[in-house]
This record gives sequence, C-alpha cells and structure tokens, in this order.
Amino acid sequence: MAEDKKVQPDPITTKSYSVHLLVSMLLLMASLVWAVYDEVEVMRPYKDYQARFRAYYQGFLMNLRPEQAAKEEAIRNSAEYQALNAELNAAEGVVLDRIADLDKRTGRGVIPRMTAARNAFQVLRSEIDALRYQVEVSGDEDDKASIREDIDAIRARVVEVELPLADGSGGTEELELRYGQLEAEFLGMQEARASLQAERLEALEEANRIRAERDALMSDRLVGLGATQIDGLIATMRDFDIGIKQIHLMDIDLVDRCESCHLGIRQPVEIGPTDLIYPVFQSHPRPELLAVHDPERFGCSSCHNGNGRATRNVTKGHGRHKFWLWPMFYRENFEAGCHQCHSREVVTPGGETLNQGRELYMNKGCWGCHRFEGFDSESEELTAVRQQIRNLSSDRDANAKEMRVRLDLGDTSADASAARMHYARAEELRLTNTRVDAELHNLAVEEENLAREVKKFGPSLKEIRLKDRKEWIPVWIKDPHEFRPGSKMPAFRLLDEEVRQISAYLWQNALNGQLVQHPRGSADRGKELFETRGCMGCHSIGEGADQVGGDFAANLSRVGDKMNYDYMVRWIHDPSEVTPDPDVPDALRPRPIMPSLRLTIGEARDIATYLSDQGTGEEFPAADYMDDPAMAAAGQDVIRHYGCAGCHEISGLEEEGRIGTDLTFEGSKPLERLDFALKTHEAELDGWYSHKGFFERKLENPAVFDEGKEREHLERLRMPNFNFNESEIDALTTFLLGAVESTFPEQYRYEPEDERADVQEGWWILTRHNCTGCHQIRPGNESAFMSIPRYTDDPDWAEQFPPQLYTEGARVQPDWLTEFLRNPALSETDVNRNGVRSYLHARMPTFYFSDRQLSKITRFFMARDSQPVPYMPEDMAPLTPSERAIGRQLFISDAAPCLNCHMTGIPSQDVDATAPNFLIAAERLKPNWTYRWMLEPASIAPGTAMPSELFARDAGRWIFQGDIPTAARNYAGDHADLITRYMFQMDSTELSRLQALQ
Amino acid sequence: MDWHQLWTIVSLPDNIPIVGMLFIIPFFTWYGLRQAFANDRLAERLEGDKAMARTHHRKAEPFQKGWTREVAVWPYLLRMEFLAAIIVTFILMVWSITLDAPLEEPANPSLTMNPSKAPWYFLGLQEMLVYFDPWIAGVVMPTLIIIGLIVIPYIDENPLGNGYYTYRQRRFAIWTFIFGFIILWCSMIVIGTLIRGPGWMWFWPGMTWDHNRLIFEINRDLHEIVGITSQPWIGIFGGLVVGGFMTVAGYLCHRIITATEFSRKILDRMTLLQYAILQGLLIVMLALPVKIAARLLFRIKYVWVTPWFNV
Repeated sequence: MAEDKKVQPDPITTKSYSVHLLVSMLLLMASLVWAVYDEVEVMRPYKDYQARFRAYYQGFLMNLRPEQAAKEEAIRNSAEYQALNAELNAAEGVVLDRIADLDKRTGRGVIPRMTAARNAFQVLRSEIDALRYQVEVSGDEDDKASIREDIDAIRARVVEVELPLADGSGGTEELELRYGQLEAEFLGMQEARASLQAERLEALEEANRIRAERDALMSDRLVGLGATQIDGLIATMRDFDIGIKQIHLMDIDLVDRCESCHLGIRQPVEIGPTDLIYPVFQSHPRPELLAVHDPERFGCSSCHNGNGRATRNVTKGHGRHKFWLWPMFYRENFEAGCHQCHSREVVTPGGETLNQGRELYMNKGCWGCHRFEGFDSESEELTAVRQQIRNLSSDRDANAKEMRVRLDLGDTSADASAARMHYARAEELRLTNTRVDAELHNLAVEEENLAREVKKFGPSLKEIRLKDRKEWIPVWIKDPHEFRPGSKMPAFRLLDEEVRQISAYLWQNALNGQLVQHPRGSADRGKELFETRGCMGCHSIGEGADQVGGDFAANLSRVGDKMNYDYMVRWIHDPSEVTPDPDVPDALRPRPIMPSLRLTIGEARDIATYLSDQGTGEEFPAADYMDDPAMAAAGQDVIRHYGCAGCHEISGLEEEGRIGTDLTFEGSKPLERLDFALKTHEAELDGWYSHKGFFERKLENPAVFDEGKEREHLERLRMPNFNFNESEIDALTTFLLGAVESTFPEQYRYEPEDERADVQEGWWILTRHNCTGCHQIRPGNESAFMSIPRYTDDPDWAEQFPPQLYTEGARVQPDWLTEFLRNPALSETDVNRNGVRSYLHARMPTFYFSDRQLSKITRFFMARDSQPVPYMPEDMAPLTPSERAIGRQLFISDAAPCLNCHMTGIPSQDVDATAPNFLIAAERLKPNWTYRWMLEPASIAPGTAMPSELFARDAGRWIFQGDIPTAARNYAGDHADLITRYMFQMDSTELSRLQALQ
Repeated sequence: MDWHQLWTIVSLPDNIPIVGMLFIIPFFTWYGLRQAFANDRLAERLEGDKAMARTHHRKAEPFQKGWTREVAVWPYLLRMEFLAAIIVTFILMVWSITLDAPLEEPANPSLTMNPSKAPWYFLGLQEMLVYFDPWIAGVVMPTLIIIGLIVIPYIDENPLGNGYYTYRQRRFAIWTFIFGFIILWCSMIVIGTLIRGPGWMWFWPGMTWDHNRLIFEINRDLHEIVGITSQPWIGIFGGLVVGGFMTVAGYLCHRIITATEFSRKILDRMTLLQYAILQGLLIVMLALPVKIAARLLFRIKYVWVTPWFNV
C-alpha cells in the first residue's frame, strides 16, 4: 500500500485546467469589452464633442436670449413698429368677420363635402380601373365586349351618398348619384375650395402686406436672431441626436463628416472661437463664402482638403497623415483651396492671400521661367497664330502649284470631259486660295494684336548700350539686391567669370544707335512732376523706411548712377520710341509695359534731370573685358543656361523658351517628384516633408536643396533668390498649393461662359498693367497714391486722387470708354492733358493696348456692373423750350452748385475746377447713372467730393434743396431728371447761352 | 545608428508579423525539436526494456499504475485546443484593436512607390527576383516549390514517426525543412522586409533609408568575366557550368543521403523515380544559396545566358 501512496495522479486525466480556462476566458471577455468600448467610444470621439456642444451651445443660447429679446423688444416698442402694428390690427379688424365666414364655409362645408364625394367616387373608379385593365389584357374580343358592358353597368349604378352641405351650416343631404355625377360633385367642390382660398387671400392682402412690412422692419433693425429663433435653436439642441453628421455628394463621391465635430460651423448665430470654450465649435469665420459655396453642394474638404471621411481623431480627419495625399491646408494657406475651381482667375473676390500670390507670380516675373497656364498666355497664342500662318501659307502655295498643273493638263488634254474636270478643279483651288488669303489677312491682324500684347517681364536688353552705364552692368548682374534692395530682378548665384561673360555678351550684342542730345531741365520742377504726374503709381523712390510710391516698377533711388540722361529723356517722353531693330518689323515690335504720360519734351527733361540726380554717385570698377569678343561668345551659353531670355529681350536669343518647370499643377505633383535631395530625411523627421514645406523652403532660399550636394557649378540649381519676405512666401505657397489638377467635374469649377468670363479676363490685363496702382477698382484695394504723404496729408490734394472705378461700367458708355483708353487725352492734337479730368495733376497714361485688350477692358467694366454690351441708349424725353429755360436757370442757381466744381470748357473757370467736364456727359455717361449719381453720390463713390442731399423729396419728385427760381419751384417734373436731360441735350447754342448768363 | 529609422521599420504594422517571426520561428523549432528528442529518448528506453514497452503506452511520459491506459481525444486533447484557440483569439483581438490595418496612400498608376514591396509572405519570392531571371524566380521556382510540397508524401514513404515528434525517424526531412524553410524562405522574407530599402538596396539595420543613396554595384554575367563574347559559345559555356553545378550538387546530395546506415536503408526502399525527383528538387533548392552567394559575393548576374532564358 505504501507503493500505492507513491502513485502520482495521472497528469492528463486528473489535471484541472479550470484556472487556465477561467483566466483565458476572462481575458477574452475583457478583450471583447475592450473591443466594444473601442468601437463605441474610442473610435467615435465625435460623440463626446457632440455632447459637449449640445450643453455649451444651449447655455450660450440661453445667455444670448435675454440680450436679443431686449433688442427685439426695443424695436417692437419703437413708434414706427407700433404704428405698423396698429395699422395691421386695423386692417385685420376690418376683414375679421369675412375671414371667419370664409373659414367656416371652407372647413365645415366644402372640404367635408369634397371628401365624402371623393370617397364614394374612388370606390367606383377603382372597380372600373380594374375592369379596364382586364379589357386591355384580354385577347378575346367577346370577353372585351362583355367586360365593357360590366363597366357601363358600374357607370350607370346609382349610389346613395350622404353629403354635408356646402354652406358650412353643418347639415347634410342624402343624394342618389351616378359615377359621372359623383365626379362632377368632387371636382366642383375642389373648385369651390380654390375660389374660397383665393377670396381669403384677397381679403387679407392688405393685412399681409403690412405684416410683411412690419416683419421686414424687425429683421432690418435687429442684428442677430430674434428670441423666437433662439428658442427654436434651443429646442433643436434639446432634440439633438448624437451621431455622424455627414455631407454626401454623389457626383464627386465626396463624404465629409467634418460637421460631426465642427458642429457650430453652420449655426445661424456667430460663435466666436472661445464662446463655446473650444475653438472647434466656432461658426465659420467667413459666412459670406459659405453663402456662395453651400456646403450641401460643395462639401468641406473640396475647399479645405483633409480626409472628410475620417472620424477617428483630429490628425486623421485633418488628413495630416503621411499617407493622406491632400492634407488640410494650414491657416496661412487656406485660400489655396479656391484656386482649383477658380483657376482661370487672377483675382478671386475674397481670396486676398491667393490673389497676392498670383499677383506676385505675375509681378515678380515667375512666369519668365515657369510656365503657368493663364500667365503670359499671349505669347502662346502668338506662337499658335504664327504656326497657323505658316500652315496656311504652305497650303496656299501647294494649291497654287496644283492649280497651274491642272490648267496645263486641261490645256493639253484631248478628252473634253477630262479637260473640263481639270479646269473645274483649278477653279475650285483658285476659290480656296481666295478664302485662305482672307483668313491669312485676319491672322496677320491677330498676330499684330498679339505682338503688341506680348511683353517680357523685364526690360529689353537690346538697348543697354544707349541706356545704361557700361561699368554698372556687371555690378548689377552680380547682385541686383545689393544695388537696389527689393528689386524684382532676382539674385543669381553667378561666378564672377560668368558675370563678366554675360555683361560682355549683352554689351556687344546691344543695338547701336544715336540718341538726341538733351539739355538739362529743372530738377525742382522734375521732382514736382515725378511726384504728381503719376510716376509713383508704379515707381517708388527712397530706400528703406523712406520708400514712397508703388512697388510695381523699379525703385528709382539710384537710377542716376546707372542710366544715361539722354536715354532717360527719350524713355520718359515716349517709352514706345525705340532704336530701330533690323530683326523685327515695326508692326510686330513688342511694346513696353511702361505707358506714356503724354509729357512735353520739356517735362520729360525736368523729370529726367531730377532722376539723374538720384543716386550716390558711386563709381563702378572699369569693365574693359566687356569689349572682348571671346567673353561674349562664352556669355551666350551662360545666358541660355540661366534663362535670362525668359524675362528680357536679348539680341540673338529671341526664340529662347522657358527653362523652369511648368507649375500649373505643381500642387498635385506627387511628393516624390519634388527633389528634397539631401534634406529628405531631415524633412521627414522635422515634419516638413510636404508640398508646403518644399515650397516654403525653396522660396525662402532657392539653393536650399543644393546644400551638401557635390555638384559642378553648372549642375547646381538655377532658380535665383528673390528675397521674398514671410508674407510673400505664404502667398506664393498658397498659390502653388492650390495649383492642382482638379478632379472635380466641370460644373464645380468656376468657368463661366457669360459676362462673368469678361470679368475674369479683364483682371488679367488690369493686374498686368497695374491699374490698381492708381485706381481703386475693388473695395479694399489700396492704390499707391494712398501711401504718398502729399495726397494723404494735404487737404488740398484730397481731390487729386485718381478716380475710383467701383462702378465705372454703370457710369460710362462702352464705346466712349474704349476710345478713352485708347487715347485718354480725347484729342489727337492737344495731348498734354487729361481728357476728362484735366484738373488732376496725375495723368491717365496712354497704354499700348491692342484692340483686343481695349475691348476686353471695356467688357470687364461693363460686365462687373451687369451692363449690356453693346450699349443701347435709353429713350430720353426731348426738352421743351420752357424746360430748357428752367434747366438753364437751375443749372446756374445757387441751389445747384454744379459750376463751382465741374469744368465747363471755359478756361477762366476751369482753373479752379475739381470735377469732370459735364459738357462731354452726353457721349460719356449713361443718363440713368447720372440721375442716380446726382441723388446719392456718396453711396456710389464713398468719399466723393460731389455733395449729397442736393435734392429733397417733395410730392413724389425730387426737387433741389435751397433757393431755387420760382419757375423751377412751380415745375411739376423731377428736378434731377430735368438736369440730366438738360445736360444730355446740351448743344453749342445752349452752351453759349449758358456762358452769356455766367 | 539611426534608431528612428530602425524603429520606423520595426514598428510598421505591416512588419509586425516579421518581427514576431524572428522570435516565434526559432522558439517553436527549438520547442518541437526538444519534444522530438524527448520522444526519441523514450523510444530508446522502451526498445531496451521489453517489459516497460508492454506497459508503457503513453509515449511522452513513463506510465504509472492507476493511470488510464488510453487518453481520449475528447476531452483531453480538445480542451487544450480550445484553450489555445481562446488564447489565440485573445491575441488577435488585442492586435486588431491596437494596430490599424496598414493602409497606405491611394494607388497612383503613374507613380511606383519606392521601395515597392510585396505582402510579407511573398517577400521571399520578391527577394529571389534579385538573384534570378523573373521567369525563373517568378514562375519556375514557385511552381517547383508547390510541386515539391505536393510530392513529399510520395517520396517519403516511411510510416515510422507519424503522429509524434521525432528526430531519429525524420532526420533528413527535418534538416531539409530547416534548410529550405527556415534558412532560405524565412531569412529571405526577413531580408526583404527589414533589410531592403529604397531602390531595393541593401541597408543594414540602423542605416538611414536614403532615397538618394547611390552605390557602385556592377553585376556581370559569368561569361563576361571569363571573356566569352558571342553566342552560341555563351550558351554552351553557361550550360556546361550549370551542368557542372548539377553534377557536383547531385553528388553532394547523394553523399548526404547515403551518409548513415539508416538513410541507406530508406534509400533502398525508394524507386528510381522517387529518388530522381528528390535529387532534382534538392539540386534546385541548393541552387538558390549558391546563386545568392555568387551575386552578393562575386557580383555575378547570370551564369547561363541564352536567347530564351537566363539562369
């Protein structure tokens, strides 16, 4: 038995695994619970957001309510509101009995009767319909006939119905009706109901009108929501369902769940970043953008990027994840999202950063090296037109040749019919060639137009021999920013040898010519002219903090150190005057971007004298090597390598293309194709391995991705340094990030075909020619004049600002505008003046626009103000002699101070004039604008000198305020209308009469 | 030493199975072999002691009195399997909660990712592409592997050793497995996962995966080294070399197969067909490490170049 005790229990059959099982089961259950928790809570963080939002928002609304209710109450207690309310009550009181009667007849009579009739009728009709179907599907004519008989029997059946009386008295009547009668009864009641409702509406018309007026008063005066609306919101919050909130757009397969967390985004109340504690709940900071881009139609991520489907966490939702290709734009680049649909525009309303980026792209000359669709499209069109001309010309030659052959064949052919065929073919070719000739003529015109429009970014270097000081050239090329901080010419990383070679090539290949010698003028007058004629709309002067003027063109602080006086005089006097270039026919000569201010030669000398005094007088080292032909020969390759001809006209390199990469879709280029070079790993570790990171660093220092690379000098990155500042980098980065190949279907993109396209096109020309340097064209754009101390500080100069063009299209007639833009002097002979506002010191310059551009600019202004082109003059009632007399009297009366400011063409008076010549009103202005302008000028052009409140409302017409002649006082018509007609029907006799009265 | 890079590679959800494999496969190999040796020792004791052999039916442990003679599958095996199933389920649950599916960016047909890697279980095949013609590595070899696995029961007819772990009865099979699966297949997966970086270049663990890395590596065909420049000599030369390899490898395999008394006995029981297939498969398997060595150590691209295929 002792042995038995030693026997150990069977390790397999007796060992219990209960504990193991228990523990693993518990673990398994725990993992199950964890999985459920993970699924329900961890993976759905928006639930917590929503619970918080519901609570905070309710509290917020509760707080808001008393304030808004008080405001509402104040309005409700206002006399105006009370008056309307009383009026409303009165109007309702009058019709009270009638409404009650109508409601009773409708509710207790007509509708119950209609329902009863319909119910009976429907029973019969469904029986008939079923039988009809049997007729339709039955194949046997006999069957059909018998079923039709059944149908007729039903139609003839008499049904007993109890119908309420239509007068609403509550009584009923028992009727025996057939199918047709029932139908008639039902339709009759329907009609009766409609007419009763119409009657009710009519009775309440007056009351409803007053109510609408009262409510409009409330909504106009009340800022924010009313108490009832807030109560409604609170109620929605009470019933708020926690769950995914998503927008699904079928056509682009977009699912955006952003609003699962950003719950306040579309709330009708403005919610600030801290109003609901967390910024995530704030309402969209720019509701005006949401108003035109309804999220139900556009979603969120289509503009902002990010991963709209992801709800796991913020990183994933915002797409800030390595594998998400469209991360949400950072705050400073938000507007990048606009560009993918607004890619045709250079100015997108509301996209200030993006617009700045595009403007920089244009005005820093990025497009000289990097093609970007839309920028410099003229040169592409020109190439296409030239290609077309070549093709057509060769077609024409081929046709002519075949024609000769056919004629010969016809002459020698023995067979009459064959001869006829050859002659017919020859005739056909002759006609074809006539058509081709016509087409070629059109193309030649287009070529000329385009050649006028194509402008390289930088100045032509063909004239530097005449223009610049020889020794200055290498100094400038070496580092433009050293000589002129902020210059648009970027700094290339050139070897000294390369600088010498480039200078030598440019110098030796420049045109030789003779300049007219000019005596010096007066520097003081020149300074005055420079500061007032409009030069500073584009040019600035002074360095650092002293810099004044526009930044569109060069800063002229040291221009005297570099430029020849005689050339400067010629250039200022007429920028289009050039030294003849044997290679380019005059018609196809590119025109400079600098316009002519139509100065006299004396004025040009004064300005040139002033400018040539600007500078430090620094002497530059001698540069004899620039005459060395070997240097020049090497220079050509260097110039080609660095792509100088992308921005400058250079002799011998006219056909050079762009050296940079096409940036049209740079934002959607796969990240792997952006060469981070040795910075790749660093970028990944530091979190800037992204398009944004690449663009920002590249713009800040274009050589950054060369760092650490072992490369030959010519293999190094060529992009020069522009010394962009931080905001410029942000703007350009925004633009480039937005430059994506849109995956959205056409209807999402803003590519209008109507007059809105004219607006888009117009902005390209306006931006390229810096119209906004002098004019304010859209609200918020500051012209260069607004930063010139003379204009801002001196009250006498307040009226010297170039006119605002906010409503130019409504103001002027399109044909007139085109002619004005072609020649702002509005005269062929007397050009040293402004055609409209000759009192302005600043002068509207003559740009070298092509006909095409003139028409585009005109259409731009018209389209912006929804004006039809061509313009159809409104019918204007002719003036009767007595009206003319009254008009004349009014015109010179004290109440109408027109002549205090407006020019009349009488020299003695025009000296003091500060407003346009109204004698050209008839051809320049639109009458209905003129009428509105006289009534309320301040609302059309804020800050205008034209006085408001000249007129007062009197018995349904506008009459002049103040002392007016008796005849005018007795005149029954509208004074503003009379004056408008008077102005528009001014002729020379009338003018002399007017002058006689003065 | 770029720890960040190492961690990035090791912690990639895609690579978790491979990192696990680094530990699990050696462990289970060791664990299985331990059991095999234990069984072999027991078998030896039972063979030496007839009385014990009669009473000891349970193979793993010496039988004791009072124990049941036979242990039924239900419940004693199934409960262990059930337990294992629970634990594995638990592990999978935790795994799937903590690690998301390793999805990457949307596919772009015009842009191949770099490195472009197959799923982990195919990385061995992809690694083979470095050493062989795509036709060989992508079609011939995988087919042979599958055929080889199918024919195992027809080649190895030894009924002994079925149903329990044993080294003695399965010495040849175990070593072939260790060589073919663990050394070749698994290590190639590990290389493909952890070692191969951008451009399918060789990066030792801890090296930065630099996309711009350039290495000087020129691979030449064997005939170029020898100096043969024209067909058909190139083909004939290559054929001779490959034939030579097969002869040598076949001889070596034969020596291994006939190394012990036991294996000679097995060999005697095999038909010629069985033996020929076995030899063929073994030679192909051996070709892999030889070619790897030729490529990595001697920079030889192909040994046998013909107009139709390259080896």
